[in-house]
Amino acid sequence: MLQQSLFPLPSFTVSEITRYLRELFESDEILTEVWVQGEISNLSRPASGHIYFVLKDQNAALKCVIWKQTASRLPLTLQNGMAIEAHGAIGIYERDGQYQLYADAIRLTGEGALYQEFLRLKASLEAEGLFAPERKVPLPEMPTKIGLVTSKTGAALQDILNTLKRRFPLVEVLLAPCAVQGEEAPPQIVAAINALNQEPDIDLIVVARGGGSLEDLWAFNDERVVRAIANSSTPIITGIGHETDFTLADFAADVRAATPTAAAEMAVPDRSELREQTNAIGLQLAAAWRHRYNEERAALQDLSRRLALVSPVWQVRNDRQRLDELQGRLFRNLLHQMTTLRGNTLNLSRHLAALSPEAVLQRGYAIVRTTEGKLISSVKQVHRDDLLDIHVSDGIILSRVEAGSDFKGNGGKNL
Amino acid sequence: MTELPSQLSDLSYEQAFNELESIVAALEGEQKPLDETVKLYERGQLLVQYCMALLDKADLRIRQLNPNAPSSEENA
Repeated sequence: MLQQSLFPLPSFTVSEITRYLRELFESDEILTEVWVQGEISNLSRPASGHIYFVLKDQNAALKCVIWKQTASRLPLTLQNGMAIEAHGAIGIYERDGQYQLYADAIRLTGEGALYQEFLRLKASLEAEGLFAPERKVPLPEMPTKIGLVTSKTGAALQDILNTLKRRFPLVEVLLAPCAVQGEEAPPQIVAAINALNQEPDIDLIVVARGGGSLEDLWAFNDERVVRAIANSSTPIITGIGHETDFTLADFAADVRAATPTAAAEMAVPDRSELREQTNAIGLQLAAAWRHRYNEERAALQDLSRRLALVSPVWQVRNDRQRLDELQGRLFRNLLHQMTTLRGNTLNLSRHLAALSPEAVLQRGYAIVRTTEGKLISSVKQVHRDDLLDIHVSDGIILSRVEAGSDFKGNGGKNL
Repeated sequence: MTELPSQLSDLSYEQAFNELESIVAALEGEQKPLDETVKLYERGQLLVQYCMALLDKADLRIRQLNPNAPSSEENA
């Protein structure tokens, strides 16, 4: 029995005490932001769009509400029996006198713990210097042999092989198959990396796995795997999961690629780029040769000009020209002489003409012939009554001898 | 690669390309006797053809590393 007190306790209305409790909840550090894990039951989604369910474990239950705005942004579809962790604030629904969790985020149970473990291990390995930039080894520009650490059956393998074939098939791929998820994955990945490091001539190792949940990728956050990658003497590219996934293996690798395909792209140069490069150097080669060729040609032409200047041929040309000159002079000389001779000849012929019988006849002399044509130069050649032709300048006079000078008495007329 | 000169076919792409680069550098550098220049130029031409042929004809070779079984050839 409660005894009557001298100072009676104040009495509250239900509303007053409920409000008091609510304020108490709302000022509590834990209750205002908390992760609660349990299994979903009594899930209901009324037309309002809000989601109601009960989160429970073996011993207790907690009513939960997700408002419509949050509900539409949930990354997963809630189902009864699902083990989840709900984030939010615990408050009081005054009408029912019911405390409940107003959840604003949901994740699968385990992810949170994994993430914590991830952060813890990352911090520890980072402090150890495993991720330090100075540990990173530059990738070879043109690898000839690539080690590949991935599942033999995964899509990542095909993605990588296809990419290599397309870009640069001049490499040899050495596949070290291993499990990429589950308990057995970390030791197998480590063994594959170590085995490839034992192989001669491996220029580069690609560690790859296709996309998956945080749990699926967990092997690549395993400390053994991270250390094997960090300690690999062969450069390593990781291509694990999708663009948004970061594993500790990525931090330890020399280069992190977003996906297996991207890892293959980073591993080798592109064939078409190499073709252009080779083309360019081929042109450079031709240009270097042409340059030299032109130089040699110019030098040769120069020499040939100089040689021509001192050559006997040049001398001969000089002589030939001199000869031409002499010949010309000779000819002109000859011509002159001929002209002179011609003039002389003309004179002579004129003289000769003056002495010709016709010219004498012109001057009044006559030629006398017998009718037989015999020249008469003496009276003794003719007799009385002989017929004679007397040639004068313009014709012939037929005449008869009357008398000669030795013909006494006939006077004497001498021819 | 049987149609290529034997001394070339031993070269990897990278080796061939590196030699090509040094030949061009030599031709562009200090002048050498002409017959040497001609030889270098001809060798360079061969290397260009060889590199192009490698890029055109190459096939990806895949081998599997398996400590428990003999390595096997695989054409993926």
